[in-house]
Amino acid sequence: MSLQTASQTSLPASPHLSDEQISQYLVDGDALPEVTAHLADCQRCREELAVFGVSMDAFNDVSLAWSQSQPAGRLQERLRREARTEAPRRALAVASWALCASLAVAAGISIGNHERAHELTARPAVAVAGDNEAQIERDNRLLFAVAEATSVKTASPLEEYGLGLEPAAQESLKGKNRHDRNFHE
Amino acid sequence: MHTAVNASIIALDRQVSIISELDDIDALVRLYRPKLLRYVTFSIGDGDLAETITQDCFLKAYRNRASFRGDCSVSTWLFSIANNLVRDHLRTKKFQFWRKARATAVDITEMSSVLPSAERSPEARLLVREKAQQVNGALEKLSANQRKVFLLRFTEELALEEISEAIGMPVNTVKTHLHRAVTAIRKELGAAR
Repeated sequence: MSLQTASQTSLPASPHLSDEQISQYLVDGDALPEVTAHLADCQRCREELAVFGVSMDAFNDVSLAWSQSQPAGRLQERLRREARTEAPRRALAVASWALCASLAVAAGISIGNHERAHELTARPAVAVAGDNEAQIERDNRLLFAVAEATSVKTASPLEEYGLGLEPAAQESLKGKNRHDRNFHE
Repeated sequence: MHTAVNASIIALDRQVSIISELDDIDALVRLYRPKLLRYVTFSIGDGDLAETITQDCFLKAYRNRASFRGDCSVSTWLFSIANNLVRDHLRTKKFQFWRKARATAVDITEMSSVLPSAERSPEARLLVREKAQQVNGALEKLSANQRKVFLLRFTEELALEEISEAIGMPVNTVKTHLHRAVTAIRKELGAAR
C-alpha cells in the first residue's frame, strides 16, 4: 500500500497516512509493513493514532472498573447450586450404567451356560472301550432282524404284475392271482 | 510417531487443565465474568439484561464444560456462547428487548464513578470520563455487528481469528465490519482528518 500521495489533480502531495490507512492499520497493523515503517518516523501520524488509543484506554478502564464492581454473588450461587445438583445426577448416571453392565454380564453368562449344556447333549455317543467288530456285527444283525419283523410288507407293482419277469413266470403269476381273486370271491 | 504421541499427551494435558479450570467456579467467575459482563452490556446497551445473559452464559458453559475440546481459548468459547445467547434473545424477544433496552440504557457517567480515585488526579478522572463517554456515544451509533466486532477487538483484545470464531463470521467479514466501525468511531472522536 502506498502512502497518501497527490492525486492526478493539483492537490499537494501529503507525506502522511490517510484516514483509510490509519483505520486499516488499526484493524490489521501487522499486515502493513510500509505503514509501520512510516509511523516509526512520523510524529504527527503517531499522534493521530494516539487519539484513538487514549480514548479506547479511557473507555476500557471505566467499563472494566464498573464490571468488576458488579457483585457476582448471584452467579456464583447459581453455579454452586448447579454443581450440587450435578453430583447426584452424575451418581445416578453411573449407577444406571453399572446396572446395565451387570445385566449384560448376567445375560451373557446364562446364554453361555445354555450353549455349553446344549453342546454336551448334542455330542455323538462315544464308543465304549469293550466294543469290537464281532459285537458290532451281532448288533447290526439283531437290528436288521427287528426291522424285518416290524416292517409291513407291501408288494411292489413290478412284483404284483410280474413286470420284467420271463413269459412263463408271468403266466404262472397270472394264474396265481386269478386263484387268489376266486378264493376271495 | 513419537511426535504424534507427544502431541496427543500435550493435548490431553491441556484438556485436563481446561476442565479443571472450568470446574473451579470461583476462579472461572473471577477471571472471566468482568470481561464477559462488560462485553454483553455494551453489545446490547442494557445492564440488567446483560447480567441475566452473562449468568446464563456461565451456567451453559459450566453444564457443557465436558464437551469443550480446547480448540480455542476459554474466553473465546465464553464469548461465542454469549453471542449465541444475545442472538437468541434478540430473535425471540426482539420487541420487548428493545423497549427494555431503552429503559435501562447504560450510563457511562455513573459507571465512571467506580474508577479508583487514588490512581488519578481529579482532572485526569474527568478527562477519562469524557473520553469514555465519547467512545460510548460512538458505539451506540454502530450497527450490532460492527459494535460486537469492535468491542471484541479493541476492548477484549481478541485476535481477528478469535473474533471470527466467537461470532461465527469469516475473517474477511470481520475485517470489513471492523474497518467500518473504526472509521466511524474515529470520526466521532474527532480523530479523522
